[in-house]
Amino acid sequence: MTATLEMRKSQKIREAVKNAGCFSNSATREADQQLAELDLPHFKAEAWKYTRVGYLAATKWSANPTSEIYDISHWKADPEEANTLVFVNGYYRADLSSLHEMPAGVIVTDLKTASEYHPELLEAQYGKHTVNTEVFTALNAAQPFGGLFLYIPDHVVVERTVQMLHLVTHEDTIAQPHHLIRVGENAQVKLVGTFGSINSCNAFVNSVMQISVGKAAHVQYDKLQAEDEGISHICTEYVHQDAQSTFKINTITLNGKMIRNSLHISVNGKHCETYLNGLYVGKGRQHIDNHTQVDHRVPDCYSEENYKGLMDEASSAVFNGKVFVRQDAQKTNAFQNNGNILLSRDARVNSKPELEIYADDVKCSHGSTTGRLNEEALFYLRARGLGKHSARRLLIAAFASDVLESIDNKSVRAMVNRYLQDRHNWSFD
Amino acid sequence: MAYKGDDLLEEVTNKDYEYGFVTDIESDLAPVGLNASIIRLISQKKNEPEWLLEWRLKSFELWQKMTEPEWAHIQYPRPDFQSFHYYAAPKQKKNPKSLDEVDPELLKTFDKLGISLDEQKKLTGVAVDIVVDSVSVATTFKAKLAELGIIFCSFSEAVQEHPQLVQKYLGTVVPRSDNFYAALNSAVFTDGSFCYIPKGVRCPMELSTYFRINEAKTGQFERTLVIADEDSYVSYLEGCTAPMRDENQLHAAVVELIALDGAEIKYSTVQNWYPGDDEGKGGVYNFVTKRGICHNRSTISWTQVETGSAITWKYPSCILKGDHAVGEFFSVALTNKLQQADTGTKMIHIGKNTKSTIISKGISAGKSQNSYRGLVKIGKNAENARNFSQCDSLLMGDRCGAHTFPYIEVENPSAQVEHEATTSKIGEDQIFYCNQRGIDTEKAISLIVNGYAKEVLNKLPMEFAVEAQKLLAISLEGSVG
Repeated sequence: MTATLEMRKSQKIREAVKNAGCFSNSATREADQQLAELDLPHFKAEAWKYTRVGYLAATKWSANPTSEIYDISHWKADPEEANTLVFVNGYYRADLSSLHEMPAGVIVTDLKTASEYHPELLEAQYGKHTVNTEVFTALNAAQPFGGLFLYIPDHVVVERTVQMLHLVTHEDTIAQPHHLIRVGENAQVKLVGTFGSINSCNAFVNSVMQISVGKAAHVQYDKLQAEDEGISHICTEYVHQDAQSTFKINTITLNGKMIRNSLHISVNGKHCETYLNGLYVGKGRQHIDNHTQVDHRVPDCYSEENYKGLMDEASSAVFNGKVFVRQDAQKTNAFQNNGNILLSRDARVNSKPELEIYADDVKCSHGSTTGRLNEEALFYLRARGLGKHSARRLLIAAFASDVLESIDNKSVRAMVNRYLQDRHNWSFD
Repeated sequence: MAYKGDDLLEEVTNKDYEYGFVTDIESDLAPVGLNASIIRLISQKKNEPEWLLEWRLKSFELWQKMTEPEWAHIQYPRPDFQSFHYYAAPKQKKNPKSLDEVDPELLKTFDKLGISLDEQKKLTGVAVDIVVDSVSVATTFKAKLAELGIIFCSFSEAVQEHPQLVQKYLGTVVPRSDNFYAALNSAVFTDGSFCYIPKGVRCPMELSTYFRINEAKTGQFERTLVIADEDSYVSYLEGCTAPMRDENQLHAAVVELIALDGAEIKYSTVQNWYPGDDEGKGGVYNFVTKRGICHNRSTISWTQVETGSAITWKYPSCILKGDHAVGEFFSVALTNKLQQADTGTKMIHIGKNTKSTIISKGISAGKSQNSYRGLVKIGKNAENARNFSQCDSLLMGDRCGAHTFPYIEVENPSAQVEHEATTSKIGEDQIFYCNQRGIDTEKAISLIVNGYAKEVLNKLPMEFAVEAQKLLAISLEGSVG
């Protein structure tokens, strides 16, 4: 028995994060028990067909709670306005965070504090919608280092953006932020998540986020992943939508060594709207994997997905979008689009847009395209006096514009533009 | 709603299999089960050369190490491979020289199926190589084809008469170790068709084989090999019906197509095997491996109309190895009652300037599950490859499922790959539009669904198009409830 446990790669990481969590309760212990039975996914598992994660067990990871002070100004969204919670190596840093006064009843704090002051609220939410048979979710849920705890009561509109600002600072660091967000009936909130790093180091971020969107609530989430080239990031979100709610998420992935986004959206009430947009830009030997799943369980809902990829040098991308329409989910309208542009000879794309439909009165469609920049369009622009690079840039900007424009937060959009300018010399302004 | 669709749907989904009957012909049966001595027996019965026996035994060895694939979106009790007969030959007085010598019972069977040999001979100009439970019974138009140097015969005949061709090409497209069912087929295949078109020859008629699964409890393991030599052309038809049985019947065929430089192969299938009764009892398990390889400037075109079988697991594929090769896949897959289909294609682009087109139309009714699963792979050196895929699904009734699992793998930036898929039921506004113009609902549905599948049906040769339309027509009515 011990021998098999030692052989399992996941158990090495499990050992590394032992006692690194900021709190423990029955739910974390349960996740840990489940984790004991799981191993890192093999490439033969359908969901990990194109993404290798076995190498994650090769590093001896360690948790790094640090009290060093870092300059985080350029990562801040709405610097004057927003509630910014800063997580360094996965741990909450109250000294770097800035919290403003919130409407009555709103709880915005970190997970550790919540476990002390609002244990019953935490218990009601924690692990409610996460799936611990997913090894990385179980790993995180067993030892959450820190995270945002956001509780918005019914009928409250939170005007100020709530930002989760993540930084990784040290070599061989593992970070496991776990965010819990509960948005009450008819409430509204805008979230921003930024993932960055201070040094280019070999680090592993395993983040989990759980969002309950109450009846008729509105949630907008802009997520920016721009960690340095050495960092592996597995980012899992579980979204639970109640009737008439609207959930919008923009996933912008600009850097990192291996990025895997698993977005699970479960639509549980009638007349919901779900919008998923994504932009991934690869360079070097980066690998970016986007898995999304929209589970339509009830009738009369609408979902729209649009993911765009620009892959340069020897980067590779995976897109796997799944629309699941259950037997009861009549009158579902679900649309899915994935566009990829390969900018170099060595870039690769594996796209798998899936429809799994068990109801008949539905309108579902998906499209996927992969190619290079349109030669004729390039010629047209160059014939009108544009240089080769400007012409390419213009076409790239046009390709990415619909996703970029969907980013709600202006300062996040500016961050993205700045990043693309610095890293790829593309200007999208 | 005023549509009488519900009744029609009921009627359609309850429609019993029209072609279910059993012909009473004595069969020469091998004992139940599978082991090396059964394979030796098959090989001996068919008087095969030593190399082929070796090949079979090696396949059997490989098969024993393999496990059944489980990734497909289908559920069924695993067949017990030791409970089948692996060889069944209808007993006959030697080889018939004319139709008079053929067992009248057999001829009656063909009559019921609507393939009168005489009629075919005289009217349609289709040469038919009929396979009843694995042994070829009659081959027509052979002489005419022989004049052009075309070889069209049963597989066992080809083994005897053209061993060099068989040995050269057998297993080159679908290797023995390709998958579980291909390995099984390679070990125990009993017969099938063989076709060779010489250089520069355009085959003047559609070559056609009617497959029949006949003896109870016999797995049918067909092996088809079509070789089109340089700059030749052939259109090949394959159609299937099977009688009613309570036991699940296993069918694991392998089809290999080889299109040498500049050749063109059109391969059309109409499959209407017994889908099982209302409880899903009986019905054929259809696990088929079909694949073609395209050399320079050659074309392989698969057209299929799949309406039968309890389980369909079938991915006719093209390996576009040569430059300027073209692969095409046109499919209509219809599932009803408790049928399950997981079907699609693989287009592997290896050569430069290769093109592929995929048009797949799924129709699911009753409690059936219909999946499209396809792979488009653009290799690193496949410059200027082009693919267009369109996969549409039509749902009739609220207890069926339609699924799309396309895999798109691109490793070359000059490629242009497009995939689109839609799933819906017939638009009520379309029906309303027709109603408004005086076309009643039933006709409107027929019109719309006909239009929906037309793209594929148009690709079928005349004779098949008629049969396919007939098969589809049964399910056309009452698609809106």
